[in-house]
Amino acid sequence: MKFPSFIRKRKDILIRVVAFLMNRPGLFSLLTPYRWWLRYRAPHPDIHSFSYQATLEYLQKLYGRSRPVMWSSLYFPAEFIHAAGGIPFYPEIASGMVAALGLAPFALERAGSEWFSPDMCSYHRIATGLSLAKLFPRPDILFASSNICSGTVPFFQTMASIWKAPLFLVDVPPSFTLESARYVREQLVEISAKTKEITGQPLQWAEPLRHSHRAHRLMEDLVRLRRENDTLFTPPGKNIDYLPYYYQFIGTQISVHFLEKLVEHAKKANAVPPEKIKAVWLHLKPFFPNSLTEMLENADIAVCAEEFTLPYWEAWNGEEVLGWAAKKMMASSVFLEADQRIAAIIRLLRETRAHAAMQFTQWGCRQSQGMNELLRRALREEGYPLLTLDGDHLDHSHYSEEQLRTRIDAFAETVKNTMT
Amino acid sequence: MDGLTAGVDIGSRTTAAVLALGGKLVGSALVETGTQPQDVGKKALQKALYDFGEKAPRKMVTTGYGRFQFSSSDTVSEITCQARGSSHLFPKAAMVVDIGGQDSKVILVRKGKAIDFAMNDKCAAGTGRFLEMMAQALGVSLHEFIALAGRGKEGVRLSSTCAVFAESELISLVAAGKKPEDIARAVAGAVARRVMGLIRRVGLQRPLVLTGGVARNAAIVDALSAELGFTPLVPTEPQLTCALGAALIAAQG
Repeated sequence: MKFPSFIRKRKDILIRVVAFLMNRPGLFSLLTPYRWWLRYRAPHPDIHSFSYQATLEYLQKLYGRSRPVMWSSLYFPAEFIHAAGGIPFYPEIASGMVAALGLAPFALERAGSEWFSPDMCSYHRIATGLSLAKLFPRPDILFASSNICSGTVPFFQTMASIWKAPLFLVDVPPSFTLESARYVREQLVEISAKTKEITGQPLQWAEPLRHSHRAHRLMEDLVRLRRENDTLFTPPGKNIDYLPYYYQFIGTQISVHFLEKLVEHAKKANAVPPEKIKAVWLHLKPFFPNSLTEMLENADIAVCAEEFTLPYWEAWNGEEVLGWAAKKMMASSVFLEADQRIAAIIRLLRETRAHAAMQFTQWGCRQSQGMNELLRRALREEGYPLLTLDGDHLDHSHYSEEQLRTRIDAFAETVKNTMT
Repeated sequence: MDGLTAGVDIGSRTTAAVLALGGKLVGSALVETGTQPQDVGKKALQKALYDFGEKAPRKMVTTGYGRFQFSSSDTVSEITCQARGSSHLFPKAAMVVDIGGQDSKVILVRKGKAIDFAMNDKCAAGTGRFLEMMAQALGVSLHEFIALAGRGKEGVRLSSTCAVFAESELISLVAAGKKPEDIARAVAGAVARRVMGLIRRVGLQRPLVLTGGVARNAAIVDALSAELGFTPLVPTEPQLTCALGAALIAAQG
């Protein structure tokens, strides 16, 4: 985004003006006519238009502060927040969106100016920078679980300190036992009571559970369609852009509508041509403008499943709700604990009849980089090549297009050599 | 000439052009890449053709990081070309270690084809650039650095593999009164250990061929041989193997 030079010279003033406007909830009601017009123009939107409309509506509610804003780490169940009547805000997902809009450099610079180390994960640095600049929406409550990575808890503690808002942490043991599930449930019982004290209303679970159940079924349909019919989404990796519908909107009609559209799309998608390499995509991907998609297409690589868009938890089946929420949180260990994750990846490779796995690790992320060699060895034993791309999902300064292209092209050539 | 094919390898530091005829290298040229990768491929090719006395090859494949800058030919990654070229020179080669100016690669080879590989991450450690920086920090040319390392003795160790920290560590060693030749040897050892990490990642295989500009550096070959426990095979022109592979691939298709 290019601003006129007189504005660029007064960047600090501009940021303050933007922050001032973003903290005026009434202003966001001005978006309503535009949203009506969008809906009038496209009453039956395609996936892309639907996503645009849903994002706009979400931002209006979020910055318009129509309900309490509740920040959350990735594996704290969104259904809890919807039941509490809150608007969920996942700062890590939002940081991805900020990078996609090309605004990451400002946020990273802002975090760096206050001595937040560049060795920290850029998801957290961007969220920190935008919190310091008061451009992210002020949280009324923050929820975080200990089981995404070692950086999450201190990051959320920092956010709670910057925003001076209450933080509720859930300690999630890595292995599932009846005792550990009970331990997580007890923490959720306590947090439910405290949340009720803040919002002044009890948690209302009926609707979020109904929508979550439906979304889970649709996610299963999607996996099955992509597996059985050899269907895929093009461009490869695009599905990762829809992360909000798999996380923060789960428990709402928005996710359900979105996934219904995706299932329809998957039913119509073409079969993977035999000369293509079917790959399972692990972890996330760079969100800033880049040529990864074109590189994958040029190298004849089709992505047939993404690790982060799978229905990793068991759908609610009428059981006691906080017990179910505890189990959902613990199910996320499938991404985070090495043995469970590797076994799940091998299972996914077999089920999707994929040729290979690809992982774009995140600079500073011990979750993905830390277990990389274990994963590589385990996959090799099973006969699956793994390409690890070292980089940063959000910080463009760690990106080298030609380095990435060489690795992807070479990987495709070596996999084809083994296919033939 | 009907069967003449060309391979052009546009690397980060040097660009190589090779002409092949009947499966044999018949002409070559090596030039500095500089800042114009879009022109340097053409320049290297023209030089090779001029020396050989031909105007144009029948077919050409371009490889290396700048391959997409040279639009008038097919492109193949340097991993595949390196495997092909090295296997042509050493038919039993099972592993190729290529240490270039900006990156290093370890390639597992079966019947002339790459079946697995590992590359260094974005860090410069274990590359030619690292050696240049260390030579500069010692205040000597790369040529002098190689000679120095050859005279060095064991006993000094460079523990850091990060180019920035290693430079600082090197300056500390100088300040501590360590001999330049022993420090140079320690630098070569650090590069060799870094490359060994990549080799272990893929799984050591023999015969092992060492290619790339750094393969001409005797100090590195010695240090890597010490780490490996055997001497790798080094082609006479280790900077041309990738371009040779490209020329041979051009001949196939």
